Amino acid sequence: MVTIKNLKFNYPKSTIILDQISLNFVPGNIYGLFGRNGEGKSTLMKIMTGLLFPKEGSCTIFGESTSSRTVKGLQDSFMVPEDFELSPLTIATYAQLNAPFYPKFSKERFYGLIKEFHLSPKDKIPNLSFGQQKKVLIAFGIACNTQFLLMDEPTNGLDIPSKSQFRKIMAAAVDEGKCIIISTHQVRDLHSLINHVVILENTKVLFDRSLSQVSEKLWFGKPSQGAKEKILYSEPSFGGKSVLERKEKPETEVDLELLFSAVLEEPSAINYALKTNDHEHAI
Amino acid sequence: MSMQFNFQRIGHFIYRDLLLLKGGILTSLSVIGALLFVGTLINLRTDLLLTPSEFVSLMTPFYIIAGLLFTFAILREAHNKKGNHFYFSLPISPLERIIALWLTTSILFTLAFTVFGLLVSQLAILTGSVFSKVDFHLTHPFTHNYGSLVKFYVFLQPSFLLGAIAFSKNRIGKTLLLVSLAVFAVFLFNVILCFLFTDGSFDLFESDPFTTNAFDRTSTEYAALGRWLFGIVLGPLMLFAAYFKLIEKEV
Repeated sequence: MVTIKNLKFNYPKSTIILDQISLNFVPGNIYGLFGRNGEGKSTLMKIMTGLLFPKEGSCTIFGESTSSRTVKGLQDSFMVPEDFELSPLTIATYAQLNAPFYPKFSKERFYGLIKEFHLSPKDKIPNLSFGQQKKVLIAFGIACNTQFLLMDEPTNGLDIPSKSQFRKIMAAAVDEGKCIIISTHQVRDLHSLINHVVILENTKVLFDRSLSQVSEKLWFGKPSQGAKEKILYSEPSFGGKSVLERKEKPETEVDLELLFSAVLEEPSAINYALKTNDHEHAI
Repeated sequence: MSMQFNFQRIGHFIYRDLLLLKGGILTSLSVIGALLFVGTLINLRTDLLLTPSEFVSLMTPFYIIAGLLFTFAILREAHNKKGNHFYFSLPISPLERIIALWLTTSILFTLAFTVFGLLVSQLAILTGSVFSKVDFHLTHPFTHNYGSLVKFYVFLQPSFLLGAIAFSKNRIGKTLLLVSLAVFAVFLFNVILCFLFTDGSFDLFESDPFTTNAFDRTSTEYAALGRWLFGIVLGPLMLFAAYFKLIEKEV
């Protein structure tokens, strides 16, 4: 489990990016980490993999601080960053060179995924497009079989068939009890995959709820005229969709884009609705 | 495998570093090999012989420069903004990492470079024996000078390793500047000692025998202490500092 407590971070000579962040990431879930540009999503991921150190507070993986970069901690986490450069080797040599550091690395899984992504082990990485290089890194990350897999904008650069392949592969990975944290702006690509949403805004955690909680208590869609339920947020465009308190309405699929906009525009109303319902259930 | 120290992991890391630098290493060795080959041939022209001392003299500049450049090259990945995330998230402890780096750039480099230099020189001698009056003979590096050269490199190299880890931009320039400042500080220390032992009648800018003798005597009589201090500061202490710099390095 990755536990973040009262974390504060700023880059040198820069304003605070993350302040009083407290979060728990538990295996068996796919977390969607959302936020506007520059809200610290990538920074938070780098802190979770020990690439940056918190200025205050703590970030631990299985009880050990991520900034101490223990071998065990590093063997249990892998990050696919948004922008990267792989070593100028063939895919096979790349795997041969880096796999020995990950004791649970599965060669079969790696080459299976490489084949699934229509790549060949003999392909030279510098000759591949950025999207293909991303596939190599995603395949390597999954084959490492780490407990935590962090991905920053994983679908950026992937073609349409690869996005659906990616969703399939990720869904299989979470069934194996892994914890996957995905930061993305392209929520449509991953809406069927994510089961927990974390939204960062103004250096703080604005929203941290499982989608089952959200779908249980909120309703997404175009409300009929004279609906009794309270409208929490409406898209500004004419005929746009709204977020309502669900009450007795049938359950709807969570519209992540709508939820994101609603949380950013009406954070108190959304959180209050969820909390109120929590309270009602508790009673 | 999840222990904090594992020799196998050190071996994997050394292999990884060498394989990633394979292209650069081969190019550098080709250039150095060609220069050493020509240098040996020129040396053979004088007395048709390459003595061990001559071999060591020929090898010295290449050994030092190549070694220091290799030290910076091996840490290039750590400073590559698009590649350092993988370098630092690779499951290897800082202690294993620094040991691997030191072994590669210091011990392995010295062994490999000596063997390479010997082979190139022997090839040059063989070429000379085929095309001129040079008699084929074997040379070796095992002289007092070679021992001093290796000691000098092994104690100097950790300072460059520290610079290669600590600085992100203009790494070589900044490290050279710092080492120059350290050398200047030692020189200044010598000058201060000269002042103390000559009751202030020492003038650095006079080239009279008194001044020269005073400076030379200070250098020789306090050389043992100086060497000891120099060795501690430039060798193990810098390696220790490099280790801590590696621990606190962020991307």
